[in-house]
Amino acid sequence: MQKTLLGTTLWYVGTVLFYAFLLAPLAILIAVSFNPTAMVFPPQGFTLKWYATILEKPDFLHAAWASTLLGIMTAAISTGFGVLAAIGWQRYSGLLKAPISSLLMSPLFIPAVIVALALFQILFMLGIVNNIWTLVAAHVVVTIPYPIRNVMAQMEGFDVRLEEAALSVGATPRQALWRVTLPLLKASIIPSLIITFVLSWNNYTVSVFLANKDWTTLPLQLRAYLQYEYEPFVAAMSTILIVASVILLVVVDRTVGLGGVKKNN
Amino acid sequence: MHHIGVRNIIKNWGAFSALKDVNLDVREGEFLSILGPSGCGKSTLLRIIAGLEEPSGGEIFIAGQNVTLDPVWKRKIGFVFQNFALWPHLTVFRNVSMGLELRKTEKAELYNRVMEALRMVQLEALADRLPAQLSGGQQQRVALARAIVLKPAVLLLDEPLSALDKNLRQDMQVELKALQQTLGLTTIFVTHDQEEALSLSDRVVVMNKGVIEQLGTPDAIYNQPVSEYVAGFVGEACFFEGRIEGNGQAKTLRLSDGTAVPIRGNGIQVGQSAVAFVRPEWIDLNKLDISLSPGSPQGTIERLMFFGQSSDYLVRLGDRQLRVKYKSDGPRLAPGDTVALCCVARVLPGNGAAS
Repeated sequence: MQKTLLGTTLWYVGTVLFYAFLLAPLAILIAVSFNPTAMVFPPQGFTLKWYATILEKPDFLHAAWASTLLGIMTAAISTGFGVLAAIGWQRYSGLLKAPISSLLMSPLFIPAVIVALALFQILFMLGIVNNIWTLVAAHVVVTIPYPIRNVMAQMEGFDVRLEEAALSVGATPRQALWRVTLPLLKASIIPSLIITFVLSWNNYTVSVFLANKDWTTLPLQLRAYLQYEYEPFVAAMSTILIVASVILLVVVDRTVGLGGVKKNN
Repeated sequence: MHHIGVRNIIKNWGAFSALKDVNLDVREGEFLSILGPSGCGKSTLLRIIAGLEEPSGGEIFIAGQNVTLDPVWKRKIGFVFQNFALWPHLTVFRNVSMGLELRKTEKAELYNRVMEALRMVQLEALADRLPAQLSGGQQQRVALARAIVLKPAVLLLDEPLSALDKNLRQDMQVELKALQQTLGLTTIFVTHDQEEALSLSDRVVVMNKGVIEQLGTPDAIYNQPVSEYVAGFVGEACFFEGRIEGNGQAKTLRLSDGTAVPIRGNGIQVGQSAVAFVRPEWIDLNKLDISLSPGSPQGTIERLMFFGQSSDYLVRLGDRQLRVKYKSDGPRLAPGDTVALCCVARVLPGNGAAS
């Protein structure tokens, strides 16, 4: 197809409009967070007071702490299991290889709300509630496909002879894992840690079923607050959530790359 | 006294048997090659000796000890992989030092031993490089240094030179052999390249379909193969089938077309049918005095191939073509010439059929 000036122009305009549609609401939200008066756009001044008010709201401070802790635990456990699952899956060559892969990926295809409801039902029946571990477990379930997929993709090109070489110079399998395999998988492990953290940090659907007053996460606290108050403080909190996620993703991109599967071996 | 002992080793992959009751003794300080086509089980045998693969049956001895149940990391072996398998995230120095680090070697000694190993392969200047910054030949040397720095009881090499181009491969062959002799390392070298096996080894094992066809010195393997398979695999060979005739010393093989070829070999019995073979360089082509070679097979020269130091004649002999190798100052023959074949073929033991 011949590229015409009109076509190119339309293409650029369409792209700009598309991103505007995606990002404009966020931009407006962020702008509103600096508004000294009310949740209106354009802002009628500039203030950072809404950001400071979090210090006067222990509920939010606690929620931020809960979200951070939950995010860190989710990232560590989800990525840990994900790495092990991917390594094990790559080595396994039986009939169940394909079904296992589908099973591990299934949280991606099942609506999170259904996963959460099912977990809630089971935990309720077992009487295990009011417990951060149920929340961590639930977050792990919905985030684990990402580390598995990342690490599997990198394992695809992984040469087992690199491990055999370690064994041949006297490394036990565990030493070979720590000294050769895991360092080589760094390019998929680090993005996995960040992505699972961000997913956990932003999660609402699963948390809403399983959180309790001790472990109310930031998105839940925000939603609860919104029912009674509608002021720029909410926008400020949202901005914090957005900025934290963006910073993490930029850090990953700058260090190991978001693809996470750059061939380095 | 054997240094590596392979006893009744069997390896089955499901219904496929990769190794069928293999027995082998490797002497201390010996350079032994295992030669065979891909899929003959040579790499599997090497990996079983290393402990990277578990045998389905049989035992492995290294330096007098039964190591069959020992995992790789407890056997005192150095292993060089076909693709070198250098750790891409570690420098040359760390690639070589890993084994010493794992043994908690004292710092100064570790440094000295790593640098000594790197000096042996002429790489001490590149100790801080990453493997990706090295050429293929240099990577090969790092892999060698990594294997020898631990002073292993045996050195196992799995087609280590096949990833290199031809000139580099020849240089590395010389270096490898020199290094092996300096260190006096018992070495098993797996390859599918017959020239490599013949030129480097003290003894050569020829494998076929999971069994050892022949074990012998390079000379014996090349000049006195025990089967058609070995004769054909370790070099070019032209085979003749017929019945043994003659009296006294001079025996000939009477072919089905009525011509006869002089033969030699052990245990030749007149009246028996046999298979004999000739190598391209054993044959003399006689153009002028065909009458002087009565009864010899005759052929027509189809093509001359000039290689510099030698020339090959491709000779049409009935329904087949055979190659005759001459030094380039040999006879001047031209395509179309009719020639008589003058050679003494070697009779293969038994019926010469591949077992």
